[in-house]
Amino acid sequence: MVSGNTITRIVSPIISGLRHIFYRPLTIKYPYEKTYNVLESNYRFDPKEGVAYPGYKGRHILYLDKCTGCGACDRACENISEAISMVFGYDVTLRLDSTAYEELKKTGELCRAIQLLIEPFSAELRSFEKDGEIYVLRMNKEPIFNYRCEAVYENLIEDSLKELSKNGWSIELIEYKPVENMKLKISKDDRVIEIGIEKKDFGFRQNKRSIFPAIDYGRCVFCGFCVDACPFNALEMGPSYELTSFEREELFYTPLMLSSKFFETYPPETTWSEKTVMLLRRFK
Amino acid sequence: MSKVIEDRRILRETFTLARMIIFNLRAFLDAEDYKYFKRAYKLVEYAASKPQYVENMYGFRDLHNNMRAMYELLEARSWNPSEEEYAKLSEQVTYTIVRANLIATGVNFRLKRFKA
Repeated sequence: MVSGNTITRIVSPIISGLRHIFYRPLTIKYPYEKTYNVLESNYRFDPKEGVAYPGYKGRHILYLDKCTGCGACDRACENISEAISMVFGYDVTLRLDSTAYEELKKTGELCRAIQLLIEPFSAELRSFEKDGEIYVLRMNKEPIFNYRCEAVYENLIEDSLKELSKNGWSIELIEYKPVENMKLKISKDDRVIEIGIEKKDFGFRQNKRSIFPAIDYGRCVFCGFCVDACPFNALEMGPSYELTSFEREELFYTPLMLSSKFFETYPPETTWSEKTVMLLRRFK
Repeated sequence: MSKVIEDRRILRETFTLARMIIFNLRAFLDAEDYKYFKRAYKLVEYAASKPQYVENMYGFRDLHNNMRAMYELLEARSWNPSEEEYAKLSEQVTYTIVRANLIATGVNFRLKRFKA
């Protein structure tokens, strides 16, 4: 015999469950939906008013047109986490004269040397451009950001040059200005390759040296002192907090990456009904 | 090549050396294999023999003294210390890793803040 008490025990959770179907959910579908502490408000500091506007301290936003490259953010970070470094943008170019360019078409020693040089970069052998009598290959698509040209040389060119010098190529430094630019002449017999690292001018009137902050999020503690220190309102912190990466190097955000806006999009697997629900939840 | 590039090369080599010492000492703690300790000791002795490395490593004397003390102890015990001695040795190795890490961080910051 089934008692009335047993039936109640079975039925009451079912009724409770059915009732909850019509409740508004308390959870959200992360990562497709997100909550922000302060909606559409960045953490920023107004130096004239001396007031900090509250906001979520997530990823930084850099306004390139306001930054003067004073380095106040760098100094504020110096004794906290050493995450910010002031960087220049560099372009690396490879120059060949017309005879060397003609020789390049035949797969030979020169071709192998140039392939070795362009290996760490995004350039292709086909992309040489004619500039008067000289053929120029721009090795990088986006500017390479680093704190001095010597570091660009050490990270991207030095290893290839060591390999070339083993194969009998002679290397000579023909032009050098510390931090700003350097030019190297690589030669063997009558074949000459010129490789140059030049500081890029971004053309901002308020920042003639073209020096901007870059942030290593592997080190950043999100204290916001850099935002407080900026006298020109050029740095803010936004609501974006998803900064994970498989590679440590990818956490180094260059000024161009910092200046890009956040954008959100629906993942491809969401249906139209889910999209509508997500959209409606924003206006609750 | 210019003096700046040459100075930076020495600093980078010093940094790599310090990182290799840390790597070997960590491997010793993980694997409890004395070959890593011997390698770390050799690297420290190699650094001590090169004045260009020593002058860039602030706190190197402490690192050197620690490594030498540990090495002498292990040699005196024919690389077979007692349980208690091994426990103390592990503690000292941990301290030495911290010291080597401080040295490496200092060298790294010098590289970053290097003025022409």
